[in-house]
Amino acid sequence: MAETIDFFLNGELVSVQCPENETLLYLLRERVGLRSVKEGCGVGECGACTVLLEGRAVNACLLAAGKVRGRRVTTIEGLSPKGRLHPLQEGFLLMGAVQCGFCTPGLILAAHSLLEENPHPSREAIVQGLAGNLCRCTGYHDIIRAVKWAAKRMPERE
Amino acid sequence: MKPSYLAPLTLEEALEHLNRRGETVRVLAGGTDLMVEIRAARLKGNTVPPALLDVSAIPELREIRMEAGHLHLGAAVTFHTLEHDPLIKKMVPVLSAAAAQMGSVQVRRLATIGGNVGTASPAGDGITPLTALDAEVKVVSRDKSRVLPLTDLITGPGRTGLAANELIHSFSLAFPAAPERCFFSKIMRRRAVAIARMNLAVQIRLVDSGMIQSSRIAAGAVFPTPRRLMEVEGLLIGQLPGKELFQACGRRAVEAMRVVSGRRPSMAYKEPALERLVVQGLEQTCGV
Repeated sequence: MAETIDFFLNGELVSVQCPENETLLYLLRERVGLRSVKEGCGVGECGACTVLLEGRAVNACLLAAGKVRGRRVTTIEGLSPKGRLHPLQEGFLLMGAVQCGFCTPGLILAAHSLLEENPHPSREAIVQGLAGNLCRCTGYHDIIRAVKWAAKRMPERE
Repeated sequence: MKPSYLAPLTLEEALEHLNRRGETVRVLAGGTDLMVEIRAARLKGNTVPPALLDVSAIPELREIRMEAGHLHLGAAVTFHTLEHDPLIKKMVPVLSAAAAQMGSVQVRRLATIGGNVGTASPAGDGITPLTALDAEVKVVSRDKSRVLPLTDLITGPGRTGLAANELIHSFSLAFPAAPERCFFSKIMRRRAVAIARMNLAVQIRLVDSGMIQSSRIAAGAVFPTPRRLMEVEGLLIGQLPGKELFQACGRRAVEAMRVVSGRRPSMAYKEPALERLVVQGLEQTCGV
């Protein structure tokens, strides 16, 4: 049976039919059709399904769909609402931090969450903050450079 | 139709649900273990719990406060909070240090200390420091509550003595009167986001002369149920920190593991690993 779950997805109030004991990953991919949220391992180890819940990175594969009722969820689409790339997205492109791209949405959202808490992270803080996201292509070096690049260009928060 | 997902905002309501439907309801806190279990069941075509009782939003279960020389820690406090909360960092740094090494940032935001204990994995990263600190756990049901040592609640790997209508409510930790040195480390297959092959929590008090006055040591994934390494603690009391003493401690820990856990195929790995982990933990704690 599918209950209606009302929540804010990328700033818009949505009503989605989905069993509440399903994962947010299932809700977003199978019920909303947002395929930017990737299923890598499905058990919270790879970070490919990372989304923001109230602005903070969580694994969508571990989050019961019922938990998002009334709350704000942001996927990669939510970072560039007017079609303008977010500094993190720009940074990933410029620094060559994208290869196959499967891990990229999750990595950018994890980095976004990190920069919200720590606007000017050290290399070590970036490594720690992204430890929950696996990338099998890049070797991480360019991802770390991209996050550093973006940190210098993030808009000032009110 | 009975609802399949319950998210009460009060403890009373949660306990009422458990009392009526305890046999069919699974308690959900962060969900970082339970959702994985449900996924596995779905993939195998097995039945999933007919209902989930999400207790993570109940304010009473999220409380952190000091009371009469003890730290009170609600069961739904997240690992992210354990890692960053100034009071916890100051009073029980070994718990903060352990929390910081559990899972990833994403997992720590969801996972709770009560859930870690409820899952009762021998490798639980929250369980080892709680064991070292002799944590007591408060368990509640609609009609009664009881307080017992954490080590009595966990009865075996993945097993607890919780009744179907009972909920883990909170933990109580005695914190030291004077600052103590502490250490937490885990051995993992990957440097982050991995289940501990073994973990170790150490808290030691040195007096001004440099002598060890008290020690608390617990190891995870070493015994079937959590316990302090009293055998090792006994060797340390009244001694001056030193390499030979610590090497004896490492050997003593291995003996204790052999006696309690028996000879198992994994011992070829675990014996040298535990010995070295204990030595390293003591060296780093005491600055030797």
